Amino acid sequence: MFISEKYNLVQAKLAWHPFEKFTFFVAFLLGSLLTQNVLAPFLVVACISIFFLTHGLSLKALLQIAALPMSFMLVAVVSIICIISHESFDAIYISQISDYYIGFSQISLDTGVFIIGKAMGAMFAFYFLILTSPIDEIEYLLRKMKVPDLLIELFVLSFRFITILLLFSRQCYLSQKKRMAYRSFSSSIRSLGMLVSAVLVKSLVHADFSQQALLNRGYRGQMKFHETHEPFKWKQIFIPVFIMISLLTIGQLRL
Amino acid sequence: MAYIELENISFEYPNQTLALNQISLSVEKGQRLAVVGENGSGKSSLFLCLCGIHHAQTGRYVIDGEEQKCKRKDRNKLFRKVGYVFQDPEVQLFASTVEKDISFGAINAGMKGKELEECMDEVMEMTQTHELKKKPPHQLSYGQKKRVAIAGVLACKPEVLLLDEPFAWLDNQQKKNTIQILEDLHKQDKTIIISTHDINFVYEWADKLVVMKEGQILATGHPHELLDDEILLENAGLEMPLILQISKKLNLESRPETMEAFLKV
Repeated sequence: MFISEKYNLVQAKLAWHPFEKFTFFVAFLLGSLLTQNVLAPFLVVACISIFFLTHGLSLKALLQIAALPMSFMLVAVVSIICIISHESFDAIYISQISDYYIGFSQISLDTGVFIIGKAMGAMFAFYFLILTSPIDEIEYLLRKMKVPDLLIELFVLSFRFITILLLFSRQCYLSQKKRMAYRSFSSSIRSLGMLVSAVLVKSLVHADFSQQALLNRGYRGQMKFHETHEPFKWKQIFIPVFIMISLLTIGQLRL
Repeated sequence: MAYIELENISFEYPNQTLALNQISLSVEKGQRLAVVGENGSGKSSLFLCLCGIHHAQTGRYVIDGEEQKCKRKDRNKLFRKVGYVFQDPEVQLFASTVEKDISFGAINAGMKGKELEECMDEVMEMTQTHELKKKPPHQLSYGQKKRVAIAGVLACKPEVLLLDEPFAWLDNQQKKNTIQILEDLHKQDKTIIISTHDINFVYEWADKLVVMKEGQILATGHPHELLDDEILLENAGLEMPLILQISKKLNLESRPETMEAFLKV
């Protein structure tokens, strides 16, 4: 299940025009990225967390989505914080292993925290967009931003058909597993290869049928849909603009 | 002249499988036609030719007095006259929400503004998909997907509706809903052509029956006559409808047309 559907409590309660949501997203994203200190991203994370919690997302769910990219982020940040050197250096913590000194300094720690803060802020800005906007609103925004039709159609079709292929793969995998297909390393490799080829064949057959179905409903190279959204309110734009200016100002402070 | 006329239609797939062999058929406007036969007998290929996705290599296809040629222009016109509901709704639903999927065909048929909204309201009411309109297709149950697939085709306002196995994998309630949709369409004088293995439904519902085998038409006629022919049924690999089987066992002189009539007898 997609994250936007697993935690869709927010979008169910938020009846804004997609462009209003997008301006908030831009405000949070720029506020997080164009900063010189860690306070602005921290404020973004705090604001969005409070927003989610007040719009029906549980604390547990919030922590779950925050933890999702944490493993990647920590691995990346550890390589920045951690210093490995032949010579000793000014450090908060240092230990010697053989000829090497391993530890972290105040500067490397500050840099690591600053990067992780920026990344968390940007990530929460994306969560804000994903959890408040159903997929058709994101598609609408892409069209309004004049993204080429080919890319939008690929996005729409991938979103739709990836669920079918994942379901098929799961069923196929279970069917193999029930017949002891993964009992040893060699049989696992062979079974996995068969699974991948079955999914490929299925996707080709499915694509063929889908094209027939599209042609049958008058497809001539362009997908047009009926769009219905909440009315756009200009007043709503002032709040994200104010937030963005505030965050950018706070971000320039030398703390 | 009949609304749909097929004369000696033959169609061969690129792998040299002869799917349709000299098919001739006529369908009147507003008729309820059922096509029955074993798997691989050519039912789906016939439907794909009727809706213009496959072009017959030989023969003549006339609909509403216009002969269909193997041109893209003809196919683009044909989709407004003939709608095809695929057996598997998964291949048909592609948009991010139900509402968008239903609107796709209607917009391609040239509808916009109020006309589009009225058309969508009408088909969503007929197929009971109003409450699903904001949902993405993968969150729907199989029966709901089937209803949305029918709505998506109906939104093009076709005169002829082709339904490939409309009751496949449906529970009893969903089947009743689908039958109700077919009844509503019949009242609107739409021509409905279905392929099915549900011989009991065909017996009660269809005005005309086509029995197919190995790409050929074995027999065409009223289901009450054809489904009483044991030799034909055996040849086509079909079963006799339950009403007829019991009527024969009970040595009833009359042949009830529906299960209700049978229970009264």
